[in-house]
Order: sequence, then C-alpha cells, then structure tokens
Amino acid sequence: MGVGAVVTLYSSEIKRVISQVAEQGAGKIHLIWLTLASETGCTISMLQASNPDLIEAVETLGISVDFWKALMTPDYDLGWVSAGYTREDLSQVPLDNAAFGSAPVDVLVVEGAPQLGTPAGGNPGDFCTVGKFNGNTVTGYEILQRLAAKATYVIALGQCSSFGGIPAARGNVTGAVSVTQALKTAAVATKKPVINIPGCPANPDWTLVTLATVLQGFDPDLDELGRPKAFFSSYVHDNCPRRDAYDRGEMAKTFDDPVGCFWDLGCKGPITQSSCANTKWNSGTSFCTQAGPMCWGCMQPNFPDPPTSGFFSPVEQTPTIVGVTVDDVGELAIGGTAGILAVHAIRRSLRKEDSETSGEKASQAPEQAEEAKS
Amino acid sequence: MTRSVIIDPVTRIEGKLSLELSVDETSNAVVSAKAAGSLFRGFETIVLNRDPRDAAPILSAICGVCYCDHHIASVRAVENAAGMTDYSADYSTEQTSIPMNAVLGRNLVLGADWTYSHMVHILALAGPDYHLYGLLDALKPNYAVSGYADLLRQFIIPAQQYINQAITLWGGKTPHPRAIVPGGNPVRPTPDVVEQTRARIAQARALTDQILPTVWNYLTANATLLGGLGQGPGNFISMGAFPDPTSADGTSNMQLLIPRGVVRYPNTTPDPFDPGRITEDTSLSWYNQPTPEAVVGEQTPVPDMSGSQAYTWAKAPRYDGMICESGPLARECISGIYPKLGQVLHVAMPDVAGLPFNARGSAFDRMTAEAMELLALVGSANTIQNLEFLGEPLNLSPVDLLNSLGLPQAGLLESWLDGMKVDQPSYNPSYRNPGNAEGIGLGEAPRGSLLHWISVKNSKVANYQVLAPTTWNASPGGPLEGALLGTPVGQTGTDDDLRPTAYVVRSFNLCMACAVHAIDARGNDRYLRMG
Repeated sequence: MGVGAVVTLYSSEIKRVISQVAEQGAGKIHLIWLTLASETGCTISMLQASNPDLIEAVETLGISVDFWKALMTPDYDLGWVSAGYTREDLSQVPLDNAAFGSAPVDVLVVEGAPQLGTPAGGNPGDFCTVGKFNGNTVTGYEILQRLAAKATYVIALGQCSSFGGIPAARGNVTGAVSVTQALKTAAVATKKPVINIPGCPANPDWTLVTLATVLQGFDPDLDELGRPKAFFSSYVHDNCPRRDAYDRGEMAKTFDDPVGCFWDLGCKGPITQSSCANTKWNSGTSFCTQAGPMCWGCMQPNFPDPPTSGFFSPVEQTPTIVGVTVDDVGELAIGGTAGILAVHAIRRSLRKEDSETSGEKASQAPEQAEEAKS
Repeated sequence: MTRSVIIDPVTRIEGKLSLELSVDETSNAVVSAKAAGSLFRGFETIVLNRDPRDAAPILSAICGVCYCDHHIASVRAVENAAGMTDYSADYSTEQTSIPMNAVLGRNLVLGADWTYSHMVHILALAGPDYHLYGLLDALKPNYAVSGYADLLRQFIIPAQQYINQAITLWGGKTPHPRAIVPGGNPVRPTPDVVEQTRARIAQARALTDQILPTVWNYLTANATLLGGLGQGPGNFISMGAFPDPTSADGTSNMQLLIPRGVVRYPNTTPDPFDPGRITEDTSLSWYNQPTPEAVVGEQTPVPDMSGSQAYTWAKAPRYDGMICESGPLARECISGIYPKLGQVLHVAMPDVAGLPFNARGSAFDRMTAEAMELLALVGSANTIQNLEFLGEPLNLSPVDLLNSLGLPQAGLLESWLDGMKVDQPSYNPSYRNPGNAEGIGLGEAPRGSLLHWISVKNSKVANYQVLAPTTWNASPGGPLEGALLGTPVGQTGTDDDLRPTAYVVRSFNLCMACAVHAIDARGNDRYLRMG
C-alpha cells in the first residue's frame, strides 16, 4: 500500500494501516522522543490516540521507545532494555547512548521548540538544558543537532517544533525557532526532510499514521511546509459543520449562536489547513468548530501571531505582517495565507452580493464594532 | 562526610526537573536538597501588547496537562478587569454576570481536567514507584493483566480518555480546548451534549471503581511508612475553586466548594486569603530582580544566570514571607474534607487519631488526599469492595465513604451537569474591552493554587503575571526541598535505595512547565529509580 492510499485515510482506517506495517515484520525501530521548549501537551495528546491506542501502536509497530522522559518506565519494558538500559543505569543513559554513543536512532520525535538564545550570564541555548553528559550540562539545542544528524527520520511534532509556536511568538526572549530553522542555523543536514506535524497539540491519530507510513519504508508526501499532505491539504472552513450557514450568508453575532458562521467573530477556519473536520479529535468525539465556537488557527505557521491573532478579529481585518523577521517557512506561510485570503475575499464578496440581492444583510457583531473603535 | 546523589532528569513528570541531594554518610539521610527547573519559555512577555482576550488561548499552553485551568484563570482575570466578575472584600465569595450555566460548565470542565490529571498521575506516573499499588495481583482474577502495559491499556488510558472526551464535547479537543471566552461558555448545554457527557463520566467511573479501592488499601496499609516521609511546612494555601451558583442568590455572592484560605502552622484553622500578601523571591533563581516583589503588579524579571547562588528558573513565591504547600492536601485541609475523612476513620477505628497523619503533611497524606479528590469528582457505584486502613477492614465501600462525607455518590462532575438548565444560555455577550484596568483570576489547578493577573492599558495587555502551583511546591528553599530532608537513601545498589525519595517527590505531583512557564528543570546524573 502506497502513500497515496494513506492520503485518503481517516481514523477508522488507521488501525488497518498499522497492522499492515506489523505484517511486514520489520525489526525493532529505535525511537527517541526529545522534549525541548514545550508543555508536554503533545505527549498527553498521544495518550488520547485510539484505535490503536499508544501502547498498542508501540507494540504492533515494533517500536523500541529508547527515551521518552514523560512516560519512560524501565521496569515495564517498552524498549528501554533494548536501548541498553539496565536497572542500575542513569536516567539519561539511553539519551546519552543515542546522542553521544553508537546506539541507533531510526526516528527522532521532537516535541517543543529549540531555543537558540543566550540568557544574560549564560551560554547559547541555556534556556533549556536536558541533563549532564560526561560532566557537561548539555542544552536542548545541542542534543537536537546530534540526534537529528543521526536519525533516519526527524518528526517535528506539534506547533512548537514545526513552526516555533507559542515559545517563538512575538515578545519571546529565548530565541525559540522551529526545528527546521534551528537545524538550518546550525548547518545540520538531515537524511530526509523534516516531517512537520503542526498543531497545538499535534493530533495523535495523524501522528500514528505518519509514523506507520514511515515504518513501511515510504517517505510521506509532504507539502512545501513539510507537512504530510494527507492531513493538511484542506481548510477547516471547507468542511466546517457551519459551512452551509456561511454559504447562505448567515453570520453569527454572538459566540453562542447555534447556527451562524463565526467568520465575523474571528474564526480562523478560513486560513487554517488541517483535517480536524474530517478525523475530529479524541476518538472522533468533536473538534473546535463543531463543539463551538471557532477555530483558533493553532496549526497555521504563525500561530499565535497574525494572521491567526487577534483571535477575535475577522481574518480579513487582521493586519498583514510587515517588517517582521521570518524564516523561510514563515515567508511561505505569508504567501500562502495571502493567496487564501484573496480566494475567500472573492467568495465572500460573492456571498455579500447574494445577500444584498436577496435583501439580507450580514449584521455586525458587538465585538467587531468594539474592535473597530479601538 | 556527605555524598552527592543527582537525579537528572526526574522522569515521569511534566517538564524538566533535576534533584541534587546531599546524603550524610553516617545516617544515610538527606541533609540538603536542591530542586531545579531547567526550561524557561517566558510566557509573561509573549502575551504583552495583545488584545486581553488573546491571552487565554496562548496561556493555556503554559501546561499541556492542566490546560483548562490556565485558560479559565486567564479568562477570569480578563472578566475581573472588565467588571464581569468580582470578589468580595475578603475574597471568600464571588459574583459574576456570566450565566449560571457557564459557572457550572466551567466547574465541569475544570473538575474533569483534575479528574483525568489525577488518574494519570496516581496510576501512570507515580504508580510504578508505588508497586502499582498491588493492582496487578488484585485485577488478575478477573482481567488479563500481566504487566504495566496491560494496566495502561485496559484501565488507565481508557479512563482518562473518557474524561478527555467529556471535555472535548465542551471545547472541541484536548489538550487545549480554547472554547471558553470572556462572558461565559459558548457551548450551550443541549440535551445531547449533557447526555453524552454523562455517559463518558459513567464509563470513566466504571473503570476507576475497579482500581481506586486497591489504591486506597495500598496507601493505607503503608500509612505508617508513607506518613513518616516527606514532612511539609505545615502551611497550606488554597486560592479557591468551584463557585456554587445555587448558593446565596444565583451568581451573586457565590460560595466556593473549595474555599480560599491560608493555614499557618501550628494553627489548623485557615485565615482569609489575600493575594496582596504574596511575594516572589528570585535570590536563588536565574533572574535579575534584586528584592522580592509583590506578585500582583510585579514587573516580569529579566532572565539572568550570572548570580552565583542561583540554580533554577523557578521563582520562590511566599505568603507573608511563609513557605506554603499547595495541592489537594492543602485544599482538603482548608475545606475541612480531609479532617472529616479522619473522623470517619476514627469512628471505624478508635485507635486512629485522625488525619492528616502528619499535621504538616506527608507522602501518605498527599497521595491519599489526591485519591480522595479523584473519588469525590468522578463518584462511585461501588458498594461491594471493602476499604481498609492500616490493613484492617473498615466495613466501608467507596459509596459508603462518599455518603459519610456528605459527597454526592455520582460525583461532583455529574452534580454540576445536573445543575445546568438545559438549552438555556451559558454566555453573556456584554463583554467590552475595559481599556484601562487590572484584573485577577484566582483558582486551583490539579496540583494546587493558580493566580493570573492582568493589567490592561490602552485596550492592550500591559503587564501579565502567572503564579502556578508547582512554583510554590518546587520553589528554591520550598516545600519539596524541605520534605526531602531526612529522607533515607540506601547504599545497597538496589531499586529500594531511592524509593523513599521517589515516594516524597511523587507525592507533590510536580508540573515543571507550570512552575517555570517560566519552569522546567535542571539537574544531573542519576535516574530516579522506580520499583
């Protein structure tokens, strides 16, 4: 089964893909889960994976999770023993072996943003250290470089590692950037392009499918932002449960409007590429624009800066980014976003014309009036 | 002579923590301890110059475990600044213009967040250190569980997933449902959402009913051992949680199910809480701030590692200069539920003096208080399994225990669901940007007290301060470091050498990302072994 088929997969089929990997009888895959500037939300998100759940996936896929700080338990082996871990060893031994020794690294998952900045009185990268190795305190930035150069696949999991996310947002003082940008700055070449699975948090089911794809020996089909096309090709707005309301010109005036489209109140669905509406979240329970009220743009490259914020400003009123230092990813994102806005501006003007001809008028929400005044 | 034991990283906690212990060679007891957080992200400057409402969707990402708590605390701070919510002069009650449904909806989402967090902490994170509480043996007669992975897959992962699904119904996804906005909760309690939520809670309850009695019996059988470890400062702080809109007159003067207060050891009666009395000291932290500052109105200090004494990104919050412990034990002592639990035990076993086992707190008291909170939130239908204390049968089932404590059998989560007026509004659209104002959001997270403070100028965020639970507990010179003193550290070369240390560390349920939102930790060379 090729990647093309993965493209059309939704959650009910994830299990089948993963069992296909198992049938191939691949050997143990050595995986390192490295946490940088993050809040462990992507790890907690992995606990929400279902069909298969995390434990089943690890066992079925034949993954040896050699290091995963938040969940590692040497006594109940999920791979630590095969990584050279023994009961007498130190907690960072598997990480040490992988980064500084000869232990293999097949897949490196990075949760969180690398921080390149230098605190006053400190050294570059000191905003995040991951332990002592051979007597030296090692920064997250350094260990990332070592592991990324060695790994067959690097997966930047979640918004912070894919695009910098909140730690890299306007006002940050730590020099946080995306994994791609950090490796570029450090001139570290990876064996294959970094796979970005953005989102705050990353969706666990998409993550497992991507992992399964990799373990089948296929390189996932990535877009220009390094995202698997399977999950980031459509816009939330395109498949929103309230899309019909938008097409009819029924715009919500308050956040608890049971029917209308939340565009005017700030929904970022029109500029956010994701499969949230297709696969939903938490075992298919719901997703942001289904539960309500709106999409916050948490998978878009500049989240939480414009154009995803102001979160309560309609996307067309969001100021464009001018004079902001952006990396290549950011530049692409701005270009892409501008294009999308243009498309939706066209659609929207058509809708307004329709409304006017039918005598309806999209009303302005109080929040929007407030914004206009301030 | 002392020897040094360095644990870095401490595994199975949220964030990055390291511990450096000095152990006396003669007594084999810890004589000094340093707990350090080794990640700084700087949220308080990232939210500056933004729309005040934009703070919450960003600050929820301070923590990937207690996301609802930070989100709601920020929304409450903004509502306070906008005049939508207010506190009585002594902070004991609240009034709000958001609808009753929204108050209950926030209680539900917060309580659900605590529920899943306690499940994950007690069972998945701390469990291995506590021999999985004997659960494998207890479950084997009825379930195919041969190891930790089976326990995770059959009980822990599904139980916490059901609770997360319940939150998802009200917020779209977890972690980080961002649906709640100033003015209320946009998701209305429709019959469908209410019944789906009720079903998820019931599924989680059915699983915890299989597990919690065994956890309780393990902890109480080891009460003498665990009660002798991890003595805290005896000062407890609670910033209050779960306003009750059915108390007093609707959403005015709402009483809090978990009251605000501060207990000053050796007193056991709480004093009123006043946020103005909290300061943050950075003399042992990597910041350039010469003297302690009041947290309300504090200017965010600049990171600076040049101080020779400093070893952590965590600051040191103090109340009237006091070290305070925060968390389930603190709030249950302040609400009175924990002493009441002690009275129940005393009736059943007159030899038991009461609870807390150690008046200043202990590993036993913290773990038991957390398990008690989980039971109170999710409820129980278990009338069969007998609870024990010190290995003696109590002739009490979990349901009996809830009844004797005056707690709802179906749990607090379901009681809030029951209180909602179906299909009625849960959002008040009258929020307006206050222009120039200050606001405070007080609450409790799974791990303890949470404070958000915002200053709005020219309609933008001009200053923002967050004080998180683990900052109290893992602060330099704080409760965790103090509780480690005297802990025995063996030299047998087995897993048991560091087990007492693990008991103490786990009992605080640390969350380092919260503590240094601002924290994760730094430390060094020995892995915290779990049995």
